[in-house]
Amino acid sequence: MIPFDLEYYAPESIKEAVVIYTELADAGKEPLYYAGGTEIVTFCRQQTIKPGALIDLKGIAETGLLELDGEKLILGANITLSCLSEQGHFPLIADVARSVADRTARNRLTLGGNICGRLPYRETILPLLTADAEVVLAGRDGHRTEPLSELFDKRLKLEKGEILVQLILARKELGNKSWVRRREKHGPVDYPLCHMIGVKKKDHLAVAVSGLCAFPFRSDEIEKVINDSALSAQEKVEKSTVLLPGAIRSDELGSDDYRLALWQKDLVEMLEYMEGAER
Amino acid sequence: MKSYREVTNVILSVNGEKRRVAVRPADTLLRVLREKLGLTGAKPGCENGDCGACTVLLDGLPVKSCLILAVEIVGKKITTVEGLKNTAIQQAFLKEGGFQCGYCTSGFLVNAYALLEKHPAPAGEADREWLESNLCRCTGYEGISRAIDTAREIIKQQI
Repeated sequence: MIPFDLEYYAPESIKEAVVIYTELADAGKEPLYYAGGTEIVTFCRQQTIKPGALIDLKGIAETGLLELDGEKLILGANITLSCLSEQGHFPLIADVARSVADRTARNRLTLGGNICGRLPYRETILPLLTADAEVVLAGRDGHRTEPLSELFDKRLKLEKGEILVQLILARKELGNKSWVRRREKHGPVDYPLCHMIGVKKKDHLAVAVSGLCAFPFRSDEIEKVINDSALSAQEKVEKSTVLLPGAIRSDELGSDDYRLALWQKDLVEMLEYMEGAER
Repeated sequence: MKSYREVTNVILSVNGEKRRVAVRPADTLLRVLREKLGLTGAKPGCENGDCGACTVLLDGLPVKSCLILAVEIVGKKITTVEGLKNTAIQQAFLKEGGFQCGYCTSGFLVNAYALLEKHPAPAGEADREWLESNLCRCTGYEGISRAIDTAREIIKQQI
């Protein structure tokens, strides 16, 4: 049970949500936006967070869109991971969504919650990073659309009170050749030791990784190395390792050495799959 | 805008009945079902979303009631294991001994019911994927798996 009291609000529009957030924040109630709720309810029960109010965004229609509209795929932030795993427009994100938690949990987990949550894995961001998605945000000053790559640095950089509304992908990004490998300690229903995706975008190989460091990432520096045709696969791995954007995680699931070995092995396999064996 | 700021009387639709109950906005559905509605089929296991012992159906989809606020489900339909009396899956669990200590049974049974609704025929990978949502500390997975196969046979004979 949650051992403290809180208030619950269910706005039906972005405007209502932003207004009530501002009012509650000004009243010192430390509100949180809420969607699937799995992480927030757990942390409230453990009292690692103590919000005075929750603002449930699930009733806002535009956050629930899943629609191929002309040349764009629109993914509402409140689509559940079950829905995401069953849609056929973007198979790569379906595969990634299917690997998060378990089936019953995915009936509640949302795309926006997975990206904005406090857990460090945020795995559904991986195919969005490699697809160069755009992100639609809404706040006091209205809506804004920005490249995800400019707003995602370890986590999505939201302004206070801002809402993640949608992710938008260009149709040309949806069917690229891809490679996915998710490593876990115990089995599929576990946090990832290393979750890597590779995507062939014309002549460029894009890579994004979760679980290896304390945050998910796509690195321009690493992509320069793995796209350098003058390097062998082994040289690419060695140079990429030096360019990792943070310390490698070491915890009860796996040591840093183990995670590094997995990542290096998978990177070689991914390069072989995407480009054929190199010298 | 719907809001709940303190203890409030709400109407919940549970197993086809409208039930009036006073809830705190912070009450989880699991606690309300068990402690205020007397429906103790859904079990508190980990209360962390890992074990699946608290699984109920929310508008037909299995969810973990320990991770949902009761106020969220006002206007929606909840089915607990008590609402699955005399179903094929209940008969099959009995026939196949799909339980040992029984603590996980209600969660497995509810999840399996939803699985059979979505996949009436053996679904291979989907069966495995759905059942990964629940844990059995007694490791009685063989009996549970047989119960699902048997339930499919019962349903086929009923059609």
